[in-house]
Amino acid sequence: MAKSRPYLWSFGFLFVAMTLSVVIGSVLIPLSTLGRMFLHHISSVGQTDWPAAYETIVFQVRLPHMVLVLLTGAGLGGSGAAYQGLFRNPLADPYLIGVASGAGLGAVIAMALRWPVDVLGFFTIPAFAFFGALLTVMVVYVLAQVNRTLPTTTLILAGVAVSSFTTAATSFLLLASANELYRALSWLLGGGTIGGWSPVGAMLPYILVGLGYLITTGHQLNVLQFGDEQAHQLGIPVERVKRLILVAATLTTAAAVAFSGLIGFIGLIVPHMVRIVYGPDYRHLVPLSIIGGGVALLLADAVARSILAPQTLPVGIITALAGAPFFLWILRTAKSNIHW
Amino acid sequence: MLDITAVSVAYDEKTIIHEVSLSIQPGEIVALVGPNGAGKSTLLKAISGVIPAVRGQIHVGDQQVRDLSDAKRARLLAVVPQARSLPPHFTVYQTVLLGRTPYLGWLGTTSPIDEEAIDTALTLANIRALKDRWVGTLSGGEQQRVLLARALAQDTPVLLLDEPTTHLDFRHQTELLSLIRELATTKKIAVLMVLHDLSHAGMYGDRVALMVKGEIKAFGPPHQVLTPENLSPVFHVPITVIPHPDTQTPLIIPDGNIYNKAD
Repeated sequence: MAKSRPYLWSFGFLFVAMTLSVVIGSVLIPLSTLGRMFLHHISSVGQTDWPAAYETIVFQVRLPHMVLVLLTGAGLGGSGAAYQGLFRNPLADPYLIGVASGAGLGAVIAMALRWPVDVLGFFTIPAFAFFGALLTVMVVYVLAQVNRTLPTTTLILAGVAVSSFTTAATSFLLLASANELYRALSWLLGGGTIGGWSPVGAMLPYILVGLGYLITTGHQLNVLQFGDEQAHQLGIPVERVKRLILVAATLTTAAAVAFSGLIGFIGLIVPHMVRIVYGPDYRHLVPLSIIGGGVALLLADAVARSILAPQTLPVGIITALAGAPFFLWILRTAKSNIHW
Repeated sequence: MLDITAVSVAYDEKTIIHEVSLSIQPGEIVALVGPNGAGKSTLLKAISGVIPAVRGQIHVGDQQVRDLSDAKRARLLAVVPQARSLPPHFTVYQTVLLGRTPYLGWLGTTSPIDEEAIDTALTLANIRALKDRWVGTLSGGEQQRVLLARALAQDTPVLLLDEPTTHLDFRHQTELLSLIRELATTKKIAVLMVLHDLSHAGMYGDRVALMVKGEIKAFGPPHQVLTPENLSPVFHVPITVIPHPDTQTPLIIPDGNIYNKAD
């Protein structure tokens, strides 16, 4: 069936990207060894003829990192598609109404204040980023309300205004605490990834619940493309649906950026690429953007880790540097097929 | 089927509609006419629940509309809006599918019943051949029929149309109105239709409601409502009414004096 083909391709790409992410790094792990290691891990079949360090590298370092990157990319791709549908705006991305600027401010506050690290340990910065993001969006949300409705135009405008304010506060803090400048800048460019399985466990519930809900909203997003009035007449509880989508996409994005920093472009471009290839039907656009976001970020992350190895570049630089030309190329090839 | 009792609507405490009452039987077309700003579109929005009525009651059958959930209401009342600014990159089929929104499950999956309803709606609106085309590539007349098909897919006993002929040429106006006439009669749908063309209102409406400044000035058979005495003061134009040579329904034309004055 033609409908399943884009999913087949996406999952194929995803599998390749996941494998690549585990194989590539300061130590290149041969594919055959990786296969046997997994087989041994699952069923204790075969000999353990690989260096003991491989066990640690694969299962304690690369695998959790791969899952973290995958969840982050998936979260950004899926919420990007939902935001674009909700705002009916091709420029909408998951950061439109303040998630990024709020998370940035939260993270930089945590770094600048040198908050006692032993309170939250490694989770200080993610926690500050997460709540910074949510708090900022809440402010935008409250400011944008008009008579118990939430017009998208006021939401966008309030988002832009609040974002500029928080970004300015972040810049001020950055300059005021010059010795944290490098770390902060790196975080703001998507270089904030924390190692190990615990961040994966911390973000998983938000991503699963958020994306799980967004996947079910495809039909409603389609209806919303006809405007609030028609959506209402077609039987959609418009205000409630808009709020739920907003909350789900915001939670997902906040969890995604909290553990990796501000990664640009994925949430904007992946949904557009899916749209060009597969069309504007949100019932498929949301799930395909989730998979596509995971693939795109895994590939960008693999490049970020190898290009200046052993040093790791902030992945946000790669997503913009490689993503922009790639997207422009697709844009030129697709020409009249931009489904907006 | 559709009973509107003493409905008032207000925007920011300014009353737009004063105690309007109308009733429409199954299979009947009521044409709603009146000058710009009379509140015709507002009345349709109030009936479809987009804006709340501050007073009065709207019933479909024995169900009070404001007590219903959005989905339940959309199974009783379908609206055909004007074909302006439709998302261009939905196919005709995808657009008509949205009419099934009040019946779909939580994932938006369609059942064989939904698919049959869509198929029927495409056939009735005579757009089956277009079903895989993008809406943006269609003519205004075709787009209007897509919206009609979407409303038919909602499978409601009541149909509301807001100036459905506005952007159509003469042939498409006639075709669309004849189609609506036929559907009302064969499927026993109660139709409330805002029309600007008074002669069309006389020809296709079983009854005509004349709305002025938020009130119904006259409501009854076309030849009783569409008279020079009723219309001239409302439109501020001297009006002549002559019978249609075939159907005897009133044809409304401006008085000849206007032509002479302009000369």
